[in-house]
Amino acid sequence: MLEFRDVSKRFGRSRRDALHRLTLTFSEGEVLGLVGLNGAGKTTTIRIAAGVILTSGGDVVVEGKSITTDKAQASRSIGWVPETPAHDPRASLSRLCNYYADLRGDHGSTRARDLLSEWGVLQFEGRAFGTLSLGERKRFALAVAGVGDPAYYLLDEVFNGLDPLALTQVRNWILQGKKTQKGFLVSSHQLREVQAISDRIAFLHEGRLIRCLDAREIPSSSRKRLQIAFDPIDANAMRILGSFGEVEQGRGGVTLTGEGVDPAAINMSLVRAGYSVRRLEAADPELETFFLHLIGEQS
Amino acid sequence: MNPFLPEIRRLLRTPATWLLLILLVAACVLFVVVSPQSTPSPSQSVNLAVTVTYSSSYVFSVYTFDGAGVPVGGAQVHITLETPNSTLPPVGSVSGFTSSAGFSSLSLMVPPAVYYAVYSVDSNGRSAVIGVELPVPQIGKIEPGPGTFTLVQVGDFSLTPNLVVAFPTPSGFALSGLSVSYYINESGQGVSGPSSNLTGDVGPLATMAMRFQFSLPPGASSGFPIVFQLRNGSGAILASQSFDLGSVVAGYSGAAPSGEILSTWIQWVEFLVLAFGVLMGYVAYGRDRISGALEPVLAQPVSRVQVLYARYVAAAVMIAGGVSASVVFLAAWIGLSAGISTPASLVVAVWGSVLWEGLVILALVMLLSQLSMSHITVLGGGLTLAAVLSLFWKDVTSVVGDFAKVPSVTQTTSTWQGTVGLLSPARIVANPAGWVLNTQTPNGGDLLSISPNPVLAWVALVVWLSLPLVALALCARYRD
Repeated sequence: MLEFRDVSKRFGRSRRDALHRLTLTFSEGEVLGLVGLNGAGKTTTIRIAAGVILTSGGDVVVEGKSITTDKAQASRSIGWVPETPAHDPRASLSRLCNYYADLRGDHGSTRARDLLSEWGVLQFEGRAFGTLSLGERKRFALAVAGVGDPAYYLLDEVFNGLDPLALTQVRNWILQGKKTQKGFLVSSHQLREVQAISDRIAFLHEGRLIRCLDAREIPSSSRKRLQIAFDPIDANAMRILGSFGEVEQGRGGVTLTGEGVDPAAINMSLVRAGYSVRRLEAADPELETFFLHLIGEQS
Repeated sequence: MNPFLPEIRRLLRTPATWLLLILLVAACVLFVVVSPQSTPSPSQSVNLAVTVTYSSSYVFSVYTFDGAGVPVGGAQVHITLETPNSTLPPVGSVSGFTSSAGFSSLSLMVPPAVYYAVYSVDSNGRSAVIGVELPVPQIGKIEPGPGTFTLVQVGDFSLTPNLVVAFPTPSGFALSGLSVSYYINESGQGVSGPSSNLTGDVGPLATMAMRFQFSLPPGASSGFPIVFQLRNGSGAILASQSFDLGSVVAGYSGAAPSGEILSTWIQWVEFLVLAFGVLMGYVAYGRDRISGALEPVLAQPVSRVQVLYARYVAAAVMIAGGVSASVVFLAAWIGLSAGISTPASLVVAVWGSVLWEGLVILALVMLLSQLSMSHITVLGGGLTLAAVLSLFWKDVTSVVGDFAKVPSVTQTTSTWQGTVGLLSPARIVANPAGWVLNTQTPNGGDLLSISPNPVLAWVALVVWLSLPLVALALCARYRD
């Protein structure tokens, strides 16, 4: 189990806590999403757990080992993927990997090389880190995080800068990791991704934990917006849709807003009337709606 | 997992480390090799060592020798004393030839003062010249006594003392019934000279000079105490001070063409090593700290203190390697080319002195990296620190001046072997008793000479030796 125990952090002479008395836990085999606006404290939370910065108060305990007093042991169970990976820009990937393996007491093992291969950056192993693109750096960071085969991964905005292929790979890797009892703390602004993979979601706002819910508990908003693309768009179709809510025609389709709109019922009505439905999706993810609602409450 | 070995391996795999090491050694080698004066064969060089004493006149004990330490007889030695003001003509000069054993004793009868001495030696076309500042032999001062008399200054400890009585009042001061007495020993017994009455207006200069004539006490051939007392008309003592009178070492200098080059060489090496320390601190720690590349390291199963110390030790190993290569080259060069016998203890002393400076600057640069997130500040600040250390901490220069100039056969050996400075832990280890008080450092460059107080000297030493640990501890305690 990875526990945040009353963790606070204040930077320099700032008057405000970047993180205020955070208490949170997550376990092996669990994915905990961490969402919040910019400056909410997500990155600070992850950097503290990674041992990169020190707390101003409280402690992070990993499998019973304090990150403050027993850092070396606690960090053994942690793999960290920063939002913007930074390594010696002149060093080659293989040299960096060997160095991190060396620090983990894994000198000379082939695991690092296997991880480079797994994340599709083995062909760059002779290249300097500074020459990689953002996506390649992210994938390299994912490889480095796995060097010690840690039990917990701390992923900070891991989806940023990844191409769709890598995005899918990361998503599958997390879901696969859950099955092998790895724990993941995932911070992201991409709420749809967070919602898709998380077991629980913690909401941070201005350094404080304002809610932590089971992903299934996130309530659905009764008023929804659907974006529908179909052919042909004519007056009859607008009349059918109008019976479900307010209709607004836009480029390539219409937007339907209403209380308790049921996508399945709308789709069926259009198809039965002879329309060809090409796309029908929620305009706003439920998590985003809920999150904005929460923020609004706090403000 | 202890990160020391990984950090050493990391630095060894860093091209910048090797580039810096190669540059350090190459610069050192280049400096010696291209210097034409640094390669005299033993028989082609002539060296000069001079001990100056003052006892009614300046006496210069000169010893000339070649690069192999063999005495050079029949060499012409010329000594000129100049005032610090170079526009004035020399106050005196003297010449002479050394004996077959290489020795000569020359004297100059001039008043004691601060002089600039220029020594030159010529022997069959070989020559050496050196200039050195000679301080006033010794100045005594009588502390304030009762009444308005505050200072009696003794400017001359010859057998004809030149006593100067000084008063603080800027205008004329009527004196009457005062006398100055002196005694040849501390207890006021023994031979006593005649009292001289001080009577009259001393005038606006508020000083009065007197000369005393007296004979040596029996058995006091090389030094004896003398007590001066300032008394009023009723015989009460207003001020008193005792001095050890006798043969006073006024200064020392030694010169050799090769010696000068070697001395300069070590100053050069010292600065190079300091600069190397700055750059290694930057490569080993500062660069990663500023760019954020240290963070993935801190995320590994090592504590931040371990990372800090491991990177320090790794860089220190590299610095030790660079210093060792440079100093070994120096010692070999002296031995093989210049033919000067180099005591192993002095090689170790130079090595320790230079290395310690490198380790100190390394820790300071790491601390600077912790406090500042600017590459320019760290490198610029580090190099500025290096320059300050190099310019103002003269110990290494002093050590190496001795190293280069003094052959192992002269009578001055005992003087310089006792010289130990703050920057020379190795010398302290080699001679723990000899370093505390040494106000007669041959080249006047020993830091300890500013503080003859052993307690202060020890404090300064402890501060210097603990500086790296303090800097690293501050580094470890730093919080974002």
